[in-house]
Amino acid sequence: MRFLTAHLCHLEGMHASRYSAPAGETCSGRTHSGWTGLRAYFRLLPMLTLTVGCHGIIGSGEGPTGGPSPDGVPSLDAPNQAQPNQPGGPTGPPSTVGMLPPPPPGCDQEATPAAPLRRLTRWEYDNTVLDLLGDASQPGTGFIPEATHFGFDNSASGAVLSPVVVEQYESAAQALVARAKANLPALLNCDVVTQGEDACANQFIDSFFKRAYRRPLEASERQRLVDFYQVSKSSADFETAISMLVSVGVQSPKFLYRLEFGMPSPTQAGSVELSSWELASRISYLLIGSMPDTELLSAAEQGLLSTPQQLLGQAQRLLDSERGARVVQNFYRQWTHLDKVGELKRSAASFTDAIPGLLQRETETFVDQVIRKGDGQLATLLTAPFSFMNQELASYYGVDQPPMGDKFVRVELDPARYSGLLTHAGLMAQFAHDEQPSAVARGVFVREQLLCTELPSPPANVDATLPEPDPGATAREQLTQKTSAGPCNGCHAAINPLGFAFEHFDQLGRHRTTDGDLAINSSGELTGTDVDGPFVDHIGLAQQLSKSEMVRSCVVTNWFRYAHGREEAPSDNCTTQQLTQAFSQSGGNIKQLILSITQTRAFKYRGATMQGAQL
Amino acid sequence: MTRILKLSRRAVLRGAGGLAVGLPLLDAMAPPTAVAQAAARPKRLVIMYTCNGKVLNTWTPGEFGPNYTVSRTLKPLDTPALRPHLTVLSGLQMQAAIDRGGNGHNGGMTSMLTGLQSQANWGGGISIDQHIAQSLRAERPAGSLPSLELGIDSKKQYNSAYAYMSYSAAGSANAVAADDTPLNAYMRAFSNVVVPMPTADQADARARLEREILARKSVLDFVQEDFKSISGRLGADDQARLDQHATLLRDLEGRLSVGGAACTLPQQPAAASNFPAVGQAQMDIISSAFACDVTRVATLQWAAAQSDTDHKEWAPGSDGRHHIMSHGAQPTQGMPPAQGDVGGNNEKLTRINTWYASQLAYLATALSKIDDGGGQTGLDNTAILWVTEVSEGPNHKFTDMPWLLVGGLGGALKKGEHIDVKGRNNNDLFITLGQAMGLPNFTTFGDPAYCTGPIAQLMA
Repeated sequence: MRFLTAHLCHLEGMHASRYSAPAGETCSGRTHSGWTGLRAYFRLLPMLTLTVGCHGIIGSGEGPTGGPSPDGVPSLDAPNQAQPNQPGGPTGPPSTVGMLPPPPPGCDQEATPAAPLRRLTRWEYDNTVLDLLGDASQPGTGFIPEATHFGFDNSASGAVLSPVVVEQYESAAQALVARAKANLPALLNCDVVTQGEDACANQFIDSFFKRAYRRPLEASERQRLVDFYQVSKSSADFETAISMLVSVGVQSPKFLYRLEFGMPSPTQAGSVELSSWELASRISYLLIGSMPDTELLSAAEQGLLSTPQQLLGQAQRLLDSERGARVVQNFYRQWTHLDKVGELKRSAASFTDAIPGLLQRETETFVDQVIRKGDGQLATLLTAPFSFMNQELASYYGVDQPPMGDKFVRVELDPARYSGLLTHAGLMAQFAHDEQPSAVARGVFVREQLLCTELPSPPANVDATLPEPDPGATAREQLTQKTSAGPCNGCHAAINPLGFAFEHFDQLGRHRTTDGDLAINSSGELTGTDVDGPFVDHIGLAQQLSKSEMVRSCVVTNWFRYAHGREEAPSDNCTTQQLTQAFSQSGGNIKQLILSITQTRAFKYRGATMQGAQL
Repeated sequence: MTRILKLSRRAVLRGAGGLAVGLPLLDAMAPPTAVAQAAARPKRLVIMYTCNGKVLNTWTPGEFGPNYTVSRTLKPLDTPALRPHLTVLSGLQMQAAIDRGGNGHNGGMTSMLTGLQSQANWGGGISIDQHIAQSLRAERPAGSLPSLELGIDSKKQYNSAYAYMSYSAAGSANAVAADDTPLNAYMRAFSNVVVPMPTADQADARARLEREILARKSVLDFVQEDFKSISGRLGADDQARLDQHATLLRDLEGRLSVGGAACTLPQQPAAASNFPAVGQAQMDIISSAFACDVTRVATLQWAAAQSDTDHKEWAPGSDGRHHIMSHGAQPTQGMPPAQGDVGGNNEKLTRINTWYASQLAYLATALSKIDDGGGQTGLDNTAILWVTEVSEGPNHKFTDMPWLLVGGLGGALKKGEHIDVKGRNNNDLFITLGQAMGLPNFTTFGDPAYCTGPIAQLMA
């Protein structure tokens, strides 16, 4: 019976797997991953107890509210506020920005989990060839998409390897090489006439492959490349030989994979410390989604990535650079399923073809302005009474005094109606049908993405079709009637109220005051969390969630998975506990959380393999 | 409709890097060359997938044997040319998926072509299409592709195991992706196919292409050495991943050669705008690739497990989300239609699947236009297997799988009957297909526990 109950989460077609299914399967596979995360959480909140109403939804309890949380709604700092470029730089209290508290007792003995081999994602590939070759053609957008595991496309296990993937690398290499060849002098940065072809080629091999492989060449591999160049040149010509080197550079495993062999001798049993070059790549791909820049490579070369402060300084520099925006946006694009917004179609005339793109841009701008350029607070993300719009989008929202022109600027919104990211029209419209909003989809989003709850799959034999529209009943009443029967109620009692909270937003994502001719009831009760209690509407719900330790823990879980390309393992507990504590102590500062990931054991070490340990 | 075989006025030589060189059409190109004919009518396999099961009482013919009445869903295949090739299966099951349990779409999708229980929700081992493709390696022409995996919106809604049915080995890393872009698929199949070139100009063009290919192979060779040089320094899982990448590079290098086949190249596909147009372009590539013998195995994946494609624009009267409607329908088996059809969903689903049957008819017709010589057509020497991951939507069962075959694999398979296989597993169907393809010593596939051997009723 419980199985049936759980599966009714499928109503309205909202399926847990849509959000982050690693394997398209929520009943079995994801549940494991979920419990791993929850286990870590329960270590922090031991008083929480499990109950089983809907399989996967954790139970009620008097959780601590923990940690300081901001009163009211913080306002954004001015963009690009002056921040001294120093380690542990200042973004408000505590003064040790991004620094972590000491690890819990016993953590030194804990083995570091294996770090599975990661391949560049399509997005990372495009960023990297842009930085490496100045080629902005984005060949990766045409590659076979990665599978989404643990909510993100950058997991090691999601890097599906098919014949066509390898072929796409090869054809992309040809296209990149053809363009590079057209501007060979710029690529070589060497005067062939005065210095000679071979001298230029030698110089090119050193400089190019250090950047392509993100480390200097070893003598033997350098010799192989020189030999390859000579043979290519003798059978073709100089330009072709250089082109072939570039083609090698973008197809080698040393380019496509984030190889982490570690330092020759492990400093601790079971763990291998990463080399400074490998750390440079970790920092770089986490903070700018691309290869290390000149300064970071230089720091790696000079051994200036050995202390926590040095790592933090580089991380902060990169996150504050303009390219840091693309990482924050890449994360939240996936977390909010923003790509789906781009495909939205609504029959309403006001939902013009331009609207989906503007909605995406709103969310991208907002998350960057809050996290990188604003106060960085989770509470601001969830409750801010402002957003960023241009004239057209502001008109779509019905903002009283819309800005003029195409430029996206900050727009103040009615705090009684709007609540940060949660009420972005893109998010609200995404979780809706053509003719009415979907309370189930919205509730599932809150449970899965904010509370990291694993929701199970539906059973086969449910009628998942929508009720026929009834002018005499609100959508809430109809859905409640349909899902309140015995087996349905288990899941839907936990999901529906969190969706009903957003009944003030229609299927176009816009605020409304009535559902047809009927009054809206958006009140409900939050259950199964550390901040349980009644709420009047979405504003109240967002306030509760913004104070929740469970939500903060979920944010940490998500950023951990994004940063490491894998699910957290039991031996990551030290790392996740440290991060969670620091995140709470910062009042939920997401920017600091991102930076402090570089301060953890899991970031600086990888688990030793038999082979690795012998090196 | 069969524009694939319409002779283009200019055969297009596609070289490395997308360079195209127009060449005059030669009279000698139209029929298969003597060499191709001597290769004795290659046997070919297509696996076509559509999602969310079928409505059994509009799918299943009423009678068994050769004189069955074609069901409503399969009407588009009820033509004088195709009906003799149409073999409808009843009583087929997927024991691996039954034993796996859990969510039907995932279990079905992963066991469907592997005959294995899933591992961590991904396929538990190699799928039949990849196995046969690899087994045919020795007899395929040099430079040809082991297989073509083509899709239509295969990763649009889900980017997970729902979107994969083919595997080269167990696990997500070995899932074989379908390519949803016809132009990419075209380039894969035909980029190195060169027509005979007697004149000096053409010889120059050929020499140029040969130089380019030599350089590409040289790079691939070097990169494979790179893989070797880092071997043994990572853990077993990581090493396996790198090894597979290196193997794929070796395969790619091995088939880069000028003149993979002699045939008339099809038109390069235009950018296709919607679901049916992409599907047609992909089917055109399959039939052309078979005609040119640049591959002998193809998969065609329409959407993905549990997809909610709305087919109303091309299948009138089927408005709604495919997967959701399949849940809102009612099981039909053993029930009169009036009781089994709730909210019109069974009718809509039937219209969807009838539309897919018309797509299969398009592909089969195209294959029937291939001249294999000796009075045989491409369809005579092909088996198209149409599969789906669950039987009926409402109950997700894995018995009574509504699968069918079109074509006879050169006389090895019985054709034109409705056959009750009486509870045999998909494993045994794959053994049957493998033996009919001529694979030696092919007695098990997938989990041997689910195998009993070829299905005698299906063998000619």
